[in-house]
Amino acid sequence: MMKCGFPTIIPLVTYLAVVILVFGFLLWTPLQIVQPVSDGRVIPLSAEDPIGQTLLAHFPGLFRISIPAAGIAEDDLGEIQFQLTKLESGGEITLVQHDEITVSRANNWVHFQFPPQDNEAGTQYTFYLKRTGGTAIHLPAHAEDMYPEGNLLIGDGDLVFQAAFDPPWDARINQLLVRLSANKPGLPGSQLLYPLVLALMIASFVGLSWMLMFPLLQPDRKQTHSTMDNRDEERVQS
Amino acid sequence: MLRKPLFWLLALAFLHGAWYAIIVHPWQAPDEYLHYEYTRLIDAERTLDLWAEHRSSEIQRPVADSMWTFQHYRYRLIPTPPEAEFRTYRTPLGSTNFTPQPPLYYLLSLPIYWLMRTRPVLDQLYILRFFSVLLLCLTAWLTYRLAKLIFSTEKDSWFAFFPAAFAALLPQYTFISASYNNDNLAPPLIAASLYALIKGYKEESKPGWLLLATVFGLLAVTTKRTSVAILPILGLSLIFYALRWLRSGKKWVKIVAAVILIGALLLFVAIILFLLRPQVLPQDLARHLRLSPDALVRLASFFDNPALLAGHPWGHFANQTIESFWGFFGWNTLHVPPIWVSLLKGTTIVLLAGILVGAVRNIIREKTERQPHLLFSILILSAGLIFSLITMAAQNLVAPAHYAPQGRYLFPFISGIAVLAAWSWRSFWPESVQHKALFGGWVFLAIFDLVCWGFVIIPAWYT
Repeated sequence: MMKCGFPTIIPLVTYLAVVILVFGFLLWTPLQIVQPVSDGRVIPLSAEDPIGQTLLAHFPGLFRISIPAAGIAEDDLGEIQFQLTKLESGGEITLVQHDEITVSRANNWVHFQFPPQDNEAGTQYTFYLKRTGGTAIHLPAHAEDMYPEGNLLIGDGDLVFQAAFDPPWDARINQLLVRLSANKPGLPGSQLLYPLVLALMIASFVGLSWMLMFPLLQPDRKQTHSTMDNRDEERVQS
Repeated sequence: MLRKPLFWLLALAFLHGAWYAIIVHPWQAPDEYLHYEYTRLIDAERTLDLWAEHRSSEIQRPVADSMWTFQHYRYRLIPTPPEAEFRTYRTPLGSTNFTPQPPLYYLLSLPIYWLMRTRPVLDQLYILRFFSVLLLCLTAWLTYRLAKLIFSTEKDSWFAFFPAAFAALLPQYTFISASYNNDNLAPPLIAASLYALIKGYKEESKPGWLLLATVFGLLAVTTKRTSVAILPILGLSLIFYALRWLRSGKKWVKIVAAVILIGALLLFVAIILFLLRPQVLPQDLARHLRLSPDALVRLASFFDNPALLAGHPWGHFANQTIESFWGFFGWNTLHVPPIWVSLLKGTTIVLLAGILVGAVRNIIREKTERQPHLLFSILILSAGLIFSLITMAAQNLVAPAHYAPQGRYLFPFISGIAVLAAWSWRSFWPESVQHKALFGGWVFLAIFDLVCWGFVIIPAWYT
């Protein structure tokens, strides 16, 4: 059995490994809000007036805001002051993080990292950027509303940015199911449907693969390449 | 029945389609709101001759509201109009490209809409999506029947199973099939047409099967314009049928066959003349085919000045066709990871080469001489693929420069493509391990599917 069976079982084992990878990716890697689109507009970052952008957290555990470095520093180095505020449920605004960072063209993205926030999903944050030194700095943006859940605080449109979250796995699963089913009617609006369909789909694939693979694992059947469909015919013939 | 792999494959096809139907945001599949609106307009106006002036705020407003709820434009990576403007008549759905569509898909789904008429718009959309998922299952089953017919001498039904699995698991095809789109009725109709063509050829070129194939082919054309590629296939098959009829013992059959062959020759000459001078197409006919005079002039310019073709972005065309055949989601907004794009390009090249390898291998085998239907099948399926590509490329030639080819235009022939993929992939392997090679191919497709929804769609839309 091992002689002909082992190579046959490799694809199925690979599939199951990728299933684990997918769930690992969804459950353990940082989740991101991304506003990737620029229409070529750049906003000069001044030392006087900070540039602000609001965003809505879909998950708890905000721990990083990133902006693209491409186009930030026209020469070699720039210095940016970063400030993050949170809109509390009572309406008051609290300062979450205050940071300064030196950036250069060598960075693809400039990351402002801080301890994971213990926020609720749906919390509104605002980050402010100001130049504190170095040469001229420009931020890529889009003049129109590409990210409806937040806005630039000066003028229209949105900055290009990424926000990363690392919530606990139970909050992550719960919030992922909430988002998958949000605003959908009937069954698609049920959180239970998603794990159910997914489990049935993967089980069907694995079960079907096993049904098809099983005859291949039998040395006596290897000669005829018989499969389940042919068993009925064989029974009739016998 | 529960012990039959085909039963479980169809169950898997349904679950797979259902999964995409529920994870894809409403209206986030290409043109979905236009197809929905078209069905509503047929119901409201009781006509198939629908133009932009028939569109109404009553139909568009609830659609626009749900598009706002699901942040349609954000996920489509284009600017969101201001809310006040968005929710008013025509702004969100204001495509100027609104012309009468082939109506069969809409007419078939109309009774489902009637049952849901009083329900909210999203209820209607999800039920209509599930109607499309059933068509995906029908395509998978017909692909199985087609492959079983072609590979009828194989003892192992796995050879018929793989093409059906290919149709059921191909991510981009499932993505489209799980949306409300008139693309979805063409594949089962074309599969039925191809089945009838090959069945008739196997049964000594019985004209009844050819007639049935023609009926299914014409029904496909009344579903989706890109299905027009079935017409030259029917013509080509008629020539093969007629060549056999020439050997008939009946004199009148020989005369009919001779007339068909002479007619085919004249038609071939006419097509060549048209390609050299597209302006010869009467303007009335051009208008009826929705071809603008500008399009004809542009087409003619390519033949007058072939140097223009040198400036055509063929590389971009090929890359995007391949990517959007395997997996390119949303409104062509969600790419699969670059390493997979390269892998899929390589796979496509290998599969195309395999068709030739398979043909050569089978031609030199004595076995093939006893089953001429096999070469006939591979010939018409390959021709179907080529004509589909030509149909798509022709649009690319005459359309503005920003036109992006979409691999889904090949999906009317998905059953034929799936059979060719099986034929091609197995041709690289010794007979003793061909079934294992196909099994590996099926798992490769399933892994790619995991990548598509697990690493691309869900992270992009739900995190």
